Amino acid sequence: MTPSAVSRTLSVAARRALPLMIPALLGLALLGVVGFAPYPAVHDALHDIRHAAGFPCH
Amino acid sequence: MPASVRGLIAAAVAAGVPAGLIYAAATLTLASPLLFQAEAFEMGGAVDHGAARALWTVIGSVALATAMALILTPVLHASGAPTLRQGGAVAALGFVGLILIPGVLMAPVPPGVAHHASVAVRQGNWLAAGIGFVLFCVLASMVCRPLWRRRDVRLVTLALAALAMAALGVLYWNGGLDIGGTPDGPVPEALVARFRHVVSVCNVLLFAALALLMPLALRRLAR
Repeated sequence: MTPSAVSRTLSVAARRALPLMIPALLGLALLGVVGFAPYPAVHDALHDIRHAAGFPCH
Repeated sequence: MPASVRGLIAAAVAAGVPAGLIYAAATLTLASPLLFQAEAFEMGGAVDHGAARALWTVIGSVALATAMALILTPVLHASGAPTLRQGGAVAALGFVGLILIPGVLMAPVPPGVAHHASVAVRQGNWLAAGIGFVLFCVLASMVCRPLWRRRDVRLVTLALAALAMAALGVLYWNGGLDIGGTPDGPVPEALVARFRHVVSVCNVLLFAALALLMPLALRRLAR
């Protein structure tokens, strides 16, 4: 495989993966806020759901 | 079938919001009363739990379910066919990675139960378990993919996965491994066990709803 063919293959793979990565990263960020954000206001608001979903809370 | 980012996000939100409302209803009716009982033991008396707290539980449930759907919908899309069977398989994978394995390592507990390990350490353990599971899935799919067309390999792999899931389920139901140290506190052991059982039912409900809704939403919205 020539270098240009490799780069073309990688670019096709990246173009296919990107639409899948963006929602997943968004989901991970939201999961981080719901389950792990250390701010007291967020902790107090989401306290019950953190316990219910099994996130380490306090 | 290529999908747009907007289509995938719309499908995930369309699946996540109703699943979150189902999860909120289950949590408010089944888990919250136990949570309040545990808090009464923790505080040494009755605790105030107004409507605002219930509203935040609903908001948190919808946010959590949407986050799960955002993570799992691209996996379902990448699997090729958004059928109910595939939806069930992806939701089961999500349940194992996001609830069962972290729950086996550190069982969910109500308020008033203290751990020896700090919150930061336990959060690190949770993340490490999740990352480890994702890496395991990637490796397993790389190993299995070339052999997946063979029926005997498929049956053995599925049987092993079912056995592993059953073993994890039994461990979870019985309190898990408690790698954060044995929890203790003023909350009676029976209430802690009941809470663990009740939240596991709520979480199964959440992922069952996602298994049903994600393929439907993907077929309609992700184009």
